Amino acid sequence: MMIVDLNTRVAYRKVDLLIKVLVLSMICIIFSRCVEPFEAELEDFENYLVVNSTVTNEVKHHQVLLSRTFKFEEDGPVKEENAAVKVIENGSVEYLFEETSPGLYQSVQEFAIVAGREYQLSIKTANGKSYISEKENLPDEVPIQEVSTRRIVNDDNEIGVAIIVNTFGANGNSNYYRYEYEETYRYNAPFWRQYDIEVNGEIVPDPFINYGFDLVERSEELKTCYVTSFSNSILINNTNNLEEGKVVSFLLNFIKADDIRLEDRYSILVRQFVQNLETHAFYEQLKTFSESESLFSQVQPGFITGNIVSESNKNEPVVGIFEVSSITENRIFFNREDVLEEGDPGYVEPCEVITMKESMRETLTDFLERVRIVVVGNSLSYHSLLLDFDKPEFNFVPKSCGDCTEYGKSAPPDFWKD
Amino acid sequence: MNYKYYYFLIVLLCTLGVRSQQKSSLISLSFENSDLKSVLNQIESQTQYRFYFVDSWLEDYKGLSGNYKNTPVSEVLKEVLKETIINYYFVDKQKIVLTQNAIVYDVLPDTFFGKYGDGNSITKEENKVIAPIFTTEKRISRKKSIETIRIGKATTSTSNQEYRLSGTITNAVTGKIISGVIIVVNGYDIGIQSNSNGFYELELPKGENVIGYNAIGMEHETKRILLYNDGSYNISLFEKIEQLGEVVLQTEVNKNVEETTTRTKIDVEESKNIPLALGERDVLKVATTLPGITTAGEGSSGYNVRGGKSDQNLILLDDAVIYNPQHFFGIFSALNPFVLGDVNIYKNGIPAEYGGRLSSVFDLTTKDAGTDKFKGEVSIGPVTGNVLVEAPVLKEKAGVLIGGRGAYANWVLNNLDEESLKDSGASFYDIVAKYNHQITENSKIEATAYMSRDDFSITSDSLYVYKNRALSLRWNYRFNEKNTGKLALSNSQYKFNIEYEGETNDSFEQGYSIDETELKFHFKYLYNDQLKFDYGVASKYYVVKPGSIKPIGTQSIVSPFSIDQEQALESAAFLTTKVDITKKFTMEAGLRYSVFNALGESTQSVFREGVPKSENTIVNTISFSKNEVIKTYGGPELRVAGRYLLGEDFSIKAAYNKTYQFIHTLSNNTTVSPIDTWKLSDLNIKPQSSQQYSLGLYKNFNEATYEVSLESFYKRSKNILDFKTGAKTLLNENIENEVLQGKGKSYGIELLLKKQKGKLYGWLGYTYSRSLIQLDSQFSEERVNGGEFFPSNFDKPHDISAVLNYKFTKRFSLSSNIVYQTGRPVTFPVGNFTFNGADFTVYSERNKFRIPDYYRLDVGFNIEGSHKRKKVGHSFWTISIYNVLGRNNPLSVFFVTEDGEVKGLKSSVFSVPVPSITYNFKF
Repeated sequence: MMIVDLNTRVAYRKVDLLIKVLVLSMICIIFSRCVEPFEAELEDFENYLVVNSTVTNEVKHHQVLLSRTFKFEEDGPVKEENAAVKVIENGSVEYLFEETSPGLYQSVQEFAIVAGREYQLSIKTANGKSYISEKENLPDEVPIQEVSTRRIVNDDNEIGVAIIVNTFGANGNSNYYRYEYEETYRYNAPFWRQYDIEVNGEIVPDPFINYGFDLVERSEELKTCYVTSFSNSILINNTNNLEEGKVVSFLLNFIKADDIRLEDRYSILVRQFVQNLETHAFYEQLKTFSESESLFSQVQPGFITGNIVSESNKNEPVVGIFEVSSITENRIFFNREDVLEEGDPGYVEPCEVITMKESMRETLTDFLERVRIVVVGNSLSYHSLLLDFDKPEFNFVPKSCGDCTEYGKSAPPDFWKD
Repeated sequence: MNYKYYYFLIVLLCTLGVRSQQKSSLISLSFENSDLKSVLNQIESQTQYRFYFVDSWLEDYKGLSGNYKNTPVSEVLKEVLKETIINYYFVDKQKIVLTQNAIVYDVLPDTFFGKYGDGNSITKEENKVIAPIFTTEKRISRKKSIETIRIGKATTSTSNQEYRLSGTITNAVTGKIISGVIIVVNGYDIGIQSNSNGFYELELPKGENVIGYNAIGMEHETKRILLYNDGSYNISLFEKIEQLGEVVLQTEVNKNVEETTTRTKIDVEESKNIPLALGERDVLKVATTLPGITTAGEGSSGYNVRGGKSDQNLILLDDAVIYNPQHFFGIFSALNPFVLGDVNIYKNGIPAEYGGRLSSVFDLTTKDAGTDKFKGEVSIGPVTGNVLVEAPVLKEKAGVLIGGRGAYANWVLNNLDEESLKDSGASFYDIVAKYNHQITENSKIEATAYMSRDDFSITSDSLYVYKNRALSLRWNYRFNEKNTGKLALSNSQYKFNIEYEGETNDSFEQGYSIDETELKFHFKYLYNDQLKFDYGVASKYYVVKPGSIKPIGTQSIVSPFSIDQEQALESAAFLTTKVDITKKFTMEAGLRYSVFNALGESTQSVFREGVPKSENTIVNTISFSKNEVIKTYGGPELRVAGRYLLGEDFSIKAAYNKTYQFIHTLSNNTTVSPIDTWKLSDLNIKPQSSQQYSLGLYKNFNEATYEVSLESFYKRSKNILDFKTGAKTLLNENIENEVLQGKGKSYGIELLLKKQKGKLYGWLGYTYSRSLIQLDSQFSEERVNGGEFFPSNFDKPHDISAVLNYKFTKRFSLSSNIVYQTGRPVTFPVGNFTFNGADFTVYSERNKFRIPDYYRLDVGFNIEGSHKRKKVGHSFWTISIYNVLGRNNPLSVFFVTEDGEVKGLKSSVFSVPVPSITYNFKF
């Protein structure tokens, strides 16, 4: 029943076109929700004591790290030195800690946390202030059932390997887990050559004696190395909403197929901590605060309260936690071809060959002098020497392409299995 | 011969009860087939008597014959007038007054004399009253023809001095009833208006009354009512073609000053001129340009009224609650502006009829569907399309209205080449349908159904859906002239759903819903013009499904889990008395008694006393069976408002309000988000309550061209919900472990300057207010900022907004909207610390810092279609630019740890000028 006259119809059509153009720009604006850097002006900086300590049921020299909070513009924390640190068991037995390096305190004797006993951390700083933690118990130990790998395509359409932890919490309770890992990969320098050149005596502009360079055999140790790194993000999970207290397929890590780590052989050691709720909540808060916010939720920030208080001044904030957790470990190894498929993108080392040639304005001696500087500088790895119409050409590659020790250690670690 | 004179006189005579003794002189006359007028002329020529009458009265009487010899004049008249409806009466010595219908009493009840004493004084009265007759004369001469209506049959048996005149006012063309018609008696606005059924009722002195009927957009009608007895007079008014705006102003003059409770009325029609984001007309957004009502920023839902949290507003659409009237993160409101009739916001002096929220009531009603012909309205904006259709069902009795709005953003997103947007999607729609049926003059039924739905996904593996539903059925009934009643049955639901399908086996579907059903009886009793009552009872039943999660697909190992359903009954009885103590002083005293019963089936934890609530301090859990009362809360809520007129256009008003709120949103966000959940009070979570004191001055200048108001308020709240840092609010079985309940305090002063007439019109509002909260406890984990009062998340001390419109011609107008607000408080990181090899931030005290101030200028240009009378429809264009200055107003400031480094980031929604164009078509 809507009667539209001709003019209106023409108008509709015009509008339609205009709308299309506008909508496009609108939607882009809405969805990008411009996020920009923001400079906050801050005043009255106060530094607080930061405590980082995890003690477990593993028999070892346990560690406590003490530092202070620091300003944004500062590079890193000031370590808290010369403090008296101890862990008190059942209010009577004391395990003393000594400072082995600035801010790092290590238990004098090896010990392990025992289930059913209460533990407390006590700190007395050099300025005479004392801090005490709440009394903590050891949560039940839950072993890792399996660490598995799977080739997946992630949300960003990237092919890679998912490293997944499977745990079976037989106790049937809700469990709170934190993970740390240590990953090691084997790396082969792609441009390792059998020979290297060394500077020997005077410059001799004679191709037959290699222009005065010594040709030496390159060490096999520079060909294959083992590189180790540690997790530095907070990896936590809980079984609150899952059946049987089971953790199946907790995605611990995702490595893209073209990552250097998947070039040859890879190993990961997964450490699983079973935490209590409070400790878990502390890590959860740390994690939420460090992550970028989702589109419509924003965590109410605030001071993250741990389980350590100042005995001297109740209002003095103390950052950090005294974590008492049970620990289990699991290590796996795999080769690239074990998980990934043949056509998957591989690691491409940026190994561009750098050629040094005599220029028109210099003499051969000048040129060789230039090459010597490069060789002595040891920032590039020698690749080859060519003669082009009697003019020498020295080829180099970036150091890491010819020398794996640039990244790691050539000796396989003790745990390594081929 | 001026008959006007005699009407007055007759009235006077009647009311004052003059008893005249007449001695008639004798006359002789004869006539054959004569008309009455010439008979009277004959008498006049023979005697000194003069007749007073209206020619038209006599026209009908012709063919009279008679022959009298020395007969007394009275005798002759008696004979002559025997067959007519004309009465006669002698006044003084030589005047004979003829009257139509009326009997001129010559015998009156004795009580009259008791009242007025002897005859002498009566004569005096009579003389006195004669004087004004001449002024009346003048007035009448200007206005030519005032129709005279005679009402009722005069009887000698009644002694009433006042009679009741009632009637229904309808539109002469459409036959639709007209409410809000102002009735002016003898030139005075006596404050009577026709009610929603178009019905009016007056008590008038018997005799002549000049009654004016004034309605917005209708022709002014004046009738001379000759009242002989109780009776009714129905009138039809014609629509006024021109100068609609000015009628509004004249009729509503000084209303703002005279009302006892100050409600903020949003002019739905006018809202189309105010430029808003993406050209969407938005009534609720207009509300935020008024003092005391703010939002946290663009892209944030919810309103903060006088320092209250955004869950403290009762938003009603035709008596049904709407939980989240927002689309698209609050950029659009989910209420179709086309279907809205009235929008009233109460932020102080909340009438006792409303309850259940602390800060304000947004009372929205849909307009009635037209019952005469098919009508419609269409608008096309850059993001949405909007349609309204009205159709009669039963001619002049029942009509149906359907309004729908949808966004085509999703369609556009799917057609974009932009890779980053491929995975995003957003679409929404809302529908309102209404049926209204005037069954009898006294009975009317209205049924409204509302639904809104939003779908959006930010990544390809998640889909968020949220829905509102509101249904209401209302029956208005008029028992008699003094008593009216309303029965309203409503049901509301809000639910959201999240679907996640990820790579690993944790795909799930999660849902939440709240459902409430209310039955409300609301009666009005007009004892008299000075004393009115409003009373009723209401009860609502809540069912909350706080959360469920279930696996998707066979691979998923997410176990189905749901938190127990919650039930409660919230009931209230209310009584409001509106009393005019003196002409200047009016009071509205209301009392509401609310009772909240948290009901089983449920399991509730009992915590050890004197320690913070946590999993470890549960000493007992109690199971309650179905419908067993877990806990009862409630109490009286006093609502008092008073108004004292300091002048005709100047008043002072004060109000006190106590309010309870039994349901709470669980949100640790600053702004409302679609996945906020509502929680009912239970054994461990207490209801919130608030007390507000307000005082205001209201003054109009220049015949209400300018309205100025200055209001101040002070509010204390208890048990305001907050959370421990990092609390998990979704799917948390033991939410009471995470909740902190604290005190709130807010105060402020609000200035509003409005100009209503002229080419330049609009308003300017300034608010200075503070909103503070205190979370104190003997335990450090439950204490925030050392237990002192600190600014709440929406504490914005300075708030200025101005809406200015300039009308070039009837067709072209320019409008602008200016906003300035103090930046809201935030918690900033004050330093870093290193933990497990990564850097993290240490935060300041809660809300110690503020984000940069907010300001924005929007400009719109409106083009009305031609005002030709005979055209198919009416079109309206709006071209607007939102945020002309391109101010990058931060919505939020947040900090992330990236590559072990802390970075401050701010997000904003519309950081560039946003042009848009909207086309409206009405037929």
